[in-house]
Order: sequence, then C-alpha cells, then structure tokens
Amino acid sequence: MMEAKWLRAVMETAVDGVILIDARGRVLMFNTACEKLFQYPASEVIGQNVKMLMPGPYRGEHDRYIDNFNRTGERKIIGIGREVVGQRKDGTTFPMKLSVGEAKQDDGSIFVGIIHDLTERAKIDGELRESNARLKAVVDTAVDGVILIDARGCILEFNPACEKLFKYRAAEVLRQNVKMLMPSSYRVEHDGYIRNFQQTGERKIIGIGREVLGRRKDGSTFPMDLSVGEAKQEGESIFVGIIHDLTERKRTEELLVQAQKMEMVGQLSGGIAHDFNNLLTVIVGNAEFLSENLKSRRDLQQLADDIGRAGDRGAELTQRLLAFGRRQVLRPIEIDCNALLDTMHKLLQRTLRQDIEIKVDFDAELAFVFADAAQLESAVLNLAVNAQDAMPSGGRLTISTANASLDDHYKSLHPEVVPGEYVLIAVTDDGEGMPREVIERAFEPFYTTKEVGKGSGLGLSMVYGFVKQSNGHVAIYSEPGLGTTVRIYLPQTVSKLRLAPKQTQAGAAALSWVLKPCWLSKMTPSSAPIRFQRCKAWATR
Amino acid sequence: MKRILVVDDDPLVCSAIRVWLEQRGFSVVVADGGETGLNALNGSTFDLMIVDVFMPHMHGFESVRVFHQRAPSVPLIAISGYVFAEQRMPAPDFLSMALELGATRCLRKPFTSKTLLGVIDICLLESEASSLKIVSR
Repeated sequence: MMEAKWLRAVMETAVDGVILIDARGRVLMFNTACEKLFQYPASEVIGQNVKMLMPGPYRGEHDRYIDNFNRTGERKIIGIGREVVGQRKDGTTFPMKLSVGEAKQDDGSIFVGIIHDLTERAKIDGELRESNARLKAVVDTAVDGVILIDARGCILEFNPACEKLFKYRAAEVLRQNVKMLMPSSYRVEHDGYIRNFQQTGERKIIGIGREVLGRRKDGSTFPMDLSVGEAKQEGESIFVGIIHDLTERKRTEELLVQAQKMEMVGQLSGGIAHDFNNLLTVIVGNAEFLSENLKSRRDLQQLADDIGRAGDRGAELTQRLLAFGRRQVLRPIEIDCNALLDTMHKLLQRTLRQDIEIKVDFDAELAFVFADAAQLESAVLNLAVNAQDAMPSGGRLTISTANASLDDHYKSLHPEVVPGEYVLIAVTDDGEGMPREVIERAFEPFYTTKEVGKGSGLGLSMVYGFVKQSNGHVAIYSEPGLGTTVRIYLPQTVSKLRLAPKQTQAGAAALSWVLKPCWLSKMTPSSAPIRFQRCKAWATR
Repeated sequence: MKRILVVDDDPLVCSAIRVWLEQRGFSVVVADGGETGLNALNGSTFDLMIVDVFMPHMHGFESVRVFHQRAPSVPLIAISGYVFAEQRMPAPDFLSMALELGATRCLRKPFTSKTLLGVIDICLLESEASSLKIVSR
C-alpha cells in the first residue's frame, strides 16, 4: 500500500508525462503532466487508443509498431528514446522525446511511455542555429581577416577575407600551424608567445593590437594590424585573430609625410621671413637712426653704417630663402624638349669640365609638353651640375628623351602619379651613385651630401617643385658605384600648332645670347642655379 | 604734440619705433597686441596708428579692419613682416588688401626710421588737409 501511495505521488508530481498503454494501444493511465502537455483531462483519454495523442502520419506507424512487436517481439521504439511529435486537444502539435519501457504482467504486456516536452529545447535549438548562421555570415563577409587557432597554433578557421589577404585557400591552411603565415623572423617569436602565455598567463599580444608582417603564399610580405582575443572551448583556449591589412594605410601615411615635408618648407620660409623681417627692422632702422644722430662722431657713424649694411645683406638672404619657398608663377608654353635640350647640350659642352663627356639620345617622335621653359632648363641644369659633381674624375653624362606611358602598374608603385602619356627626360651619369638613404631624402630642401659651401641643398628640391607644379613626376634611380639616373616625366600635350621653326631658333638664339655673359666665370655647383635665375630675370624684364 | 599708437607683437620693433618717433617729438603709446591696442584706443584719441598686420590671435588682416573700424578718422599705417610663401591661390597683394580694409599706407619690413617718418609725415599732412576741407564746407 505504501508503494502504491509512492507510485501515485510519482505519477502526480512527475514533470514529464507518464502514460501506460496495453498491448492494443489502449490508454490505461495518463498522469497530471500528460494532462498538461496534451490538454486532455485523463477521463477523456483513458480507455481510448493512444493514437489520439499523435498527429495523423504517426498513427499508421504506431499500429504497425505494435503489430510488429506482438508478432516478432522486435522492439522498434521500445526502450529506445525517440523524438516524435505529439498532438494536443486543440490540434496543435509539439516536439517530444518518447521513451517506452515494457512491463510484463500476467495478462499481457503493458507499456510505459515517458514523455519529455522538447518545445523549449526546440526553441533554443532554433535560436542557436540562427545565431550560428548570423555569426558565420559575419565572419564570412567580414572585410578583415578572421582566423582561429588552438593553443598549439593549429589553424581551425580561416575566413574568406584571410584567403584574399594571404592568397591561400582555406583548405590549404586548415590544421596547419599558423606560423606558415608569418615571415621567418616572426615564427620563433610566436612559439615563444604561446608558451609564455600558457605558462604565465601573461598576455604579450593577446587583446592588444599590433603591427606585424604577414606572409602570403607567394612569399611576399605585407603590413597588417593583428588583434588577438582568447576564448575557452571545452576547457581549452582558442585564439581569435582579427587581421587588418595596413598596406594602403602605410602608403597613404608615406605620401602624407612627403607632402607635409614639402608643405613645411613653404610655411617655414614664410614664418622665418616674418621673424627675420622684424629683427631686420630693428637692426636696419636703428642703425640708420644712429647714423643720423652720430654726424659729430664719424668713427661711430661708420659703425652704425656697417650695422645697416649687414642688415641689408640679411634682407637679401631672406629674399633668396623665400624665392625657394615661394612657388613661382609659371609661364607654361608648348615646348619641344628635343630642341630645348639640344640648345642646352651645346651650352653644357662649353661650360662643364673637360673630362665630362656629354651624350644626347633624343626620340625623334617626341611629343610636346606644356611647361615653363625657363624652369625646365633650370631643372636640367641642376641635374647636369649634380651629375658633374658625382664624377670628380670625369665620366659620361647622358641626356635622353622618350615618349613614355605611365600605367596603373607604375601607379601602384608610385601612388601619386596620374596614369597617362608623358614625355621622359632622363639625365644619367656614371658617377658615385647614391645609397638608398640618400635617395629617400634627396628631394628634401637643404638636404645635401656636399661639403659646406659647395651646395645649398636646394637644387633637387627646386626640380621637384617645378615638376610637381607642372603635373609631372620625377624619380631617382641610383646604384652606388655605378651611377645615377634622374627621370623627369612631364605630361604630353596634343599640339595642333607646332611653333614655327624660325621662332624657336630665334628664341634659342636669344637664350644663348643672354646666357653667354653669365657663363664667363666658371660654373660652381652652388652658385649656378641662382646665377641662372638672375640671368633669366634680367632677360625677361 | 601729435599722439601715435604703435601696435606690434615684437617688443624690439616697438621700442625701436618709439625711440625714432619720440626723437621727432611725437608722443608714443605702444601696445603688444590687438587687445591691448584696442584698449588703448578706448582710453584716448590718437592722431595716427601704426599696426602690424600679422599678429597672433588676430586673423591676418583682421587687425587692420578692426582698428580702422574703431577709429575711422585716424590714419592707419599697416606694417608687415610676413611674406606669402604658400601659393595655393594667387598671393594676396598685401598693399591692395590692406588699403581695402582701411589702411592709409603700407610698409613692408624691414624699413628704416627715415622711411617710416616720411610716411608718417605724409599721412598726417593728408589727414589735416582733409579735415580742413571738411571744416571749410
């Protein structure tokens, strides 16, 4: 009796449904939980066939199961839990887990069904699936690379962005060690990081973004920003790496630095001039004032005059500094570079050192450019003088011209270039050449490798300024010990009207006539460009 | 005695100009910036103002306009040490801009005491002449 009471307690309080049926499928018992699940009071179910609790499709099956079991003793569902669908009184269905046990009694078997409502779980499963799908979408479509590795560095996930970055297909890297994506210098470090982290929990890179180098399938490297997070999966750590490609940013940064350097010159000169002029006012103004008031003391007046003169020279110097900083007003015209350079060739032959052999190599089909002639000559002159200085014991200077197409490939190496058709003017020497560190700074104003007094450091920066203002491009190629080529690219112009031959000749003649008097003294590197400017100023007055 | 206000942020320039002007018998008040200069104008009247064009806290030529508006009948000599090196647009012509904003005359630094005094004389003469004209109308 006690047992019966306990059994009843079990039946009435069990959370899962408990149902008893006989060998024909007739419901013998239907507990409280079943009533709740199926929404039938027990009275409406007991004595009926259990099929009423199943949706249509299952009913036929159930008869077959019972039949089969009765004939063969074969258990299809008995004992083994199965996920099925139950049907409520109102016709709605719900997922349920059904486990059936058999109890042999004197008058035949009865079957005990334990019913576990799976509605909640189904909902959770559904949510989980949806959430997984969303995460997968995020990872698959992310622009940045997402990579998962385990505690040993083994790659578990490699998203499409990673495939694009590293040029590997996911299949090629999964289960490999992540070190394959690093340049050799980093690999040793990485093992160390992982070991250190596991032993000490110390985070060297975890969580903190860091700039590193990634290694592509073809061996090339690229700068990348790497942030690493840690997650636990079944007690083990896995690491999530987010990879952001920095190639573009680095390039833009470099361009910005270059542009800022050039920009700074303009501002620097202006700012310095302002302060300078203030000081000069005090010096020159006071000197003059003193001079006026020292008429009775000639000796002191002389000193005052000297001060004034020194101030005047300071003012002149400021003007020259500014002439560099100030972008000059260009007067561009259509130029046949071959003709211009031919004139310069003759000039240079007369004025460069005897031990410099000058060669020219002009493209007969050279297109015209639209540029300021005086500035172009000045630029070529600067380059010729630099070339001469690079060949202290003589050598060959070559000036060549050619039509050139700068394409997208070139642009990828020199981002500031606009692709298109250009005219190339190249000045080549076989002198000392320049190491990479010098080339990188060569266009900087006041940067010079020449001795004090031998070079103002302004020549190449003036060339750079002119070329940029003319929408062109200039590049230096140099090999220490072998020589240097400076290449000036100026945009081609489609000219409908070639300058009449006599005009160019007259122009050229006038040029050489003007230049001759200035060329009387030997050209020295530092003074040449300035003298040239003065001559031109005089000629164009 | 004519009173002249000198506004320049460089103290050396101010004291140099003061010495030159005082020797000529002018009464000189010196201000080291836009604010102090305007304050000085509040306190008293001047016969002439000498104002530096590029001073900190005043946007370039603003100083000329501000001072001229405050004392429209007082001749203003704009002085400038700044040369325009930045050439994104055509360089503003210092002279014409300053004149448009209210300067009577302009001087580029560096200038000598003689030059400055000469310009001051001209401005004062012109100013007297125009005030005489007004009176005689």
